[in-house]
Amino acid sequence: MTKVNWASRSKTLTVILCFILACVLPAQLAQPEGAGQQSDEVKNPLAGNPEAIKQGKIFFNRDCSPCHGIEARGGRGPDLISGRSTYGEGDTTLFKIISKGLPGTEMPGGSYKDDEVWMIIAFLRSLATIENVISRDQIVGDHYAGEKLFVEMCSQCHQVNRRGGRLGPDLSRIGAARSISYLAESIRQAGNDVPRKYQTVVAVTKKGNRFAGVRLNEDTFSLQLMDQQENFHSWLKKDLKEVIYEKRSLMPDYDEQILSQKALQDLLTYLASLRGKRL
Amino acid sequence: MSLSAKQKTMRRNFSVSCLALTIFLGDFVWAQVTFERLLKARQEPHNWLTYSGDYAGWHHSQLKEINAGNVEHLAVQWVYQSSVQGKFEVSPLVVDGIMYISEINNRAVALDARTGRALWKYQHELPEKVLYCCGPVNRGLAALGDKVFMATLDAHVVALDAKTGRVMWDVEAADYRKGYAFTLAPLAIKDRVIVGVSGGEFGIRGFIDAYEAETGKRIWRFYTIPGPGEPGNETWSGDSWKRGSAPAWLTGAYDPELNLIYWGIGNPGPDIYGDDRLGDNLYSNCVVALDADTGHLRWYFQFTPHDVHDWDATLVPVLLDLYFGGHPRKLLVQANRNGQFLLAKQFGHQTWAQGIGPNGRPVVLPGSDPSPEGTYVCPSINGVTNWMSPSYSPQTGFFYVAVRDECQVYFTTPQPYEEGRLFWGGTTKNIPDEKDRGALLALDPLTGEMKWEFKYYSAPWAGVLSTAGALVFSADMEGYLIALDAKTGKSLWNFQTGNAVFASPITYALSGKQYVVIPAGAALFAFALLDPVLSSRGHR
Ligand code: HEC
Ligand code: HEC
Repeated sequence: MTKVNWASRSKTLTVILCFILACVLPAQLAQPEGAGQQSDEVKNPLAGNPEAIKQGKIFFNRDCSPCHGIEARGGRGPDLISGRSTYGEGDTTLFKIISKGLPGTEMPGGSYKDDEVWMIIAFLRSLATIENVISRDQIVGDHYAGEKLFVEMCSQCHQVNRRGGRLGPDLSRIGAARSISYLAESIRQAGNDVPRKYQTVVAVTKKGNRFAGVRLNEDTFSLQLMDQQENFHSWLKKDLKEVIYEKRSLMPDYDEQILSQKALQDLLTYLASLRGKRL
Repeated sequence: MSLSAKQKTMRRNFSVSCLALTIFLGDFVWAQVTFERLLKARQEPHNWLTYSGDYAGWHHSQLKEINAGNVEHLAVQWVYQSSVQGKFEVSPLVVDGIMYISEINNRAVALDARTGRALWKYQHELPEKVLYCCGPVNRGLAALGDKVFMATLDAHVVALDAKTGRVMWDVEAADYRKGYAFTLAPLAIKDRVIVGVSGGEFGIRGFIDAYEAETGKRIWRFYTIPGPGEPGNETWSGDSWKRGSAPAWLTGAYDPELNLIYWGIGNPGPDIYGDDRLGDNLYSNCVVALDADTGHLRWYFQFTPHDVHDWDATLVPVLLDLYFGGHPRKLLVQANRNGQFLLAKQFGHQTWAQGIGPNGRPVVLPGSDPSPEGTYVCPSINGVTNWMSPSYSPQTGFFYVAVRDECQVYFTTPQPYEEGRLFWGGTTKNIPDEKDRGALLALDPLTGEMKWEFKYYSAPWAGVLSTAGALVFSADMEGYLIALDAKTGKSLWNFQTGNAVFASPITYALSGKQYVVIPAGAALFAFALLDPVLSSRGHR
């Protein structure tokens, strides 16, 4: 039987991001709201302990890598290799996040004993030297050019801070929630990882008319869609000839013809800065 | 309380004439629930007297007022809102116009079955921290004599006055702080109440108990794990038998002719990691046949020796008297969680065994054991089916079962036993975005051959009711109560209840009107045919 490798989607696009400009970060990136207020900082009692790191890695691969990626390089959750968090840098912050989760985000809480949380943290800290991954804090293009591009090309389908279209996901805190390479891949090859919530479905009526849209809801008897014009559709399945599930995303792929490397860099810089409200 | 001659006649005549009942419209004609009545439960289909509707686990009703021709006219008659959201798993009992239910956190309630209005409520007081793996659920009550019985999350068995909800007795079966608990509906037979314990995720030592219905005195206990010196103890390495779990958390069946009770036994503990409990781990994952008088073991069959996937065999055993191999035989059928049905037929999606070998043991495929890096196996930890009731219809001769098509990655994490702490020995994960599926199947109980399949969008947690109206009722995770043609599986009717269903529908009749009941979300819904439909067919 298959041994599962939790490898998240391919990181083919890391290469294109390799011209890192290691200069000063925009202020709101370096010091997000709510960060840096640990007066009662606790140190990890298991820091650097090789056994703890080994065990922490087992927990991480099992419980965290489906979202944060193998070696914490990022996936549907942010990369965790910079050791820096949107919420503060110290071990106390990490400890709280890992044991309690981040309510209101996709980050779940665990049911670990304290020493198990410290093992995971020891493992995460041991990663800080991994190369070839661009952390969110290292991406520096032109933020304002990126924002302008976004308004022109993207906001028809995406909301940021309550403005924009509703076909795609709200991106108001996408910079906190995803790694840079994931964001880059979302833009270049949107169809690579379409979450179930945004499954593209084509409903074919008995008369042969086709309606493509994002699935809002499906069950044994019915189907509800939002089409590209943000219209709602509802059918009973018995009135449809066919329901087709498509692998593609309703978001177009933005290749280099449409979006240059420079423009992508600017967009990513803007997206990385979107970290929502303080939780 | 004694029965008037008139009442007796009324009950006996029910199947012949519904008119007689209307005489009592508006009254409760309540009578003792004698063992005699329970034995013949199928002969009073206007009631639902035991967890499975009878002792044989059929979950079937002779009522046929609602049928393929009129089921589309079903309409909600009343809704009862319980106190707590959660998995409302109860199978209600109906005794002469009164419905007895249990809610989450062990509240027992008697309802007027005509209106859904509460007649009494009893809240069992629970300690602050009770231990359970899968929610503070309860699947229902048992009725015997003038009492109803509830088994509770703090491992008590409670007898209540069926008229008032007053506590008649309350006994502690085991220490809830060690993970012992009850979630099942008790089984009442003869003069006693049988219960099986939950706690398979806490390293308990499982048992089945019998209590005197009158006093609460314990008559016998069957440990599902043999102690030192008893046969079977050698199937547990070291002292692993002490915390080997093997719970018995679902209601069994009873054969009065043989005076045997049949009970399904749950997984060995720790659930996912087996290296600390080498051996077959008897009687985990077995069906056991126990002498109802003494609790002595007569025979057992183990579905999954040395289980490491949490595939309890607790599920309802169904007793059938059928011709098998040319002879009338007493058969026991169980839709087992491990996906290998008793009759060696495989259902759909399972990846761990190559059927059942000549010795009755599954032929396990290599590489299907959980591992530290994770092993992908079908079915998931929830099994191909679970505690939701299957159904057998003597009318079609089909066995109906709700099945789950879901796979998971099983990870082991060896773990020392700690009293009162979850003792999984690992964990399971779904592959992100891999959609679970489900279906309701009609099977030939003699061959396992599939007669039809009704596909669900998601893997279900609702059981099946079949009726003499040639219908089967069930429900899905998106909240639909559905009615299908029992012969063909054709979808005839559905109703969106607004919440996932974790229960098995039941049916009863009152004043000549048939009801179908299902819990969904925190509410209990009762359906019947619209009155104009009833009268146009000369029912009133
Ligand atoms: C279901 C997916 C998922 C799983 C599983 C998950 N995470 Fe997360 N995690 C997220 C997301 C999404 C965020 C970003 C939340 C936000 O701010 O919007 C996050 C945020 C975090 C953060 C804060 C990162 C930052 O930059 O501030 C840490 C630390 C973290 N996760 C650690 C873990 C660990 C350790 C595990 C395993 C024990 C884990 N996560 C499991 C999805 C997940
Ligand atoms: C036609 C509508 C449409 C347009 C235009 C569009 N998107 Fe999308 N986008 C979607 C949909 C639908 C999804 C969800 C499915 C998926 O993940 O591909 C999505 C997903 C995403 C995601 C992943 C979100 C997550 O939660 O992981 C990102 C990032 C994103 N879009 C960015 C952009 C950017 C940047 C642009 C402009 C360059 C853009 N989108 C243009 C429809 C659109």
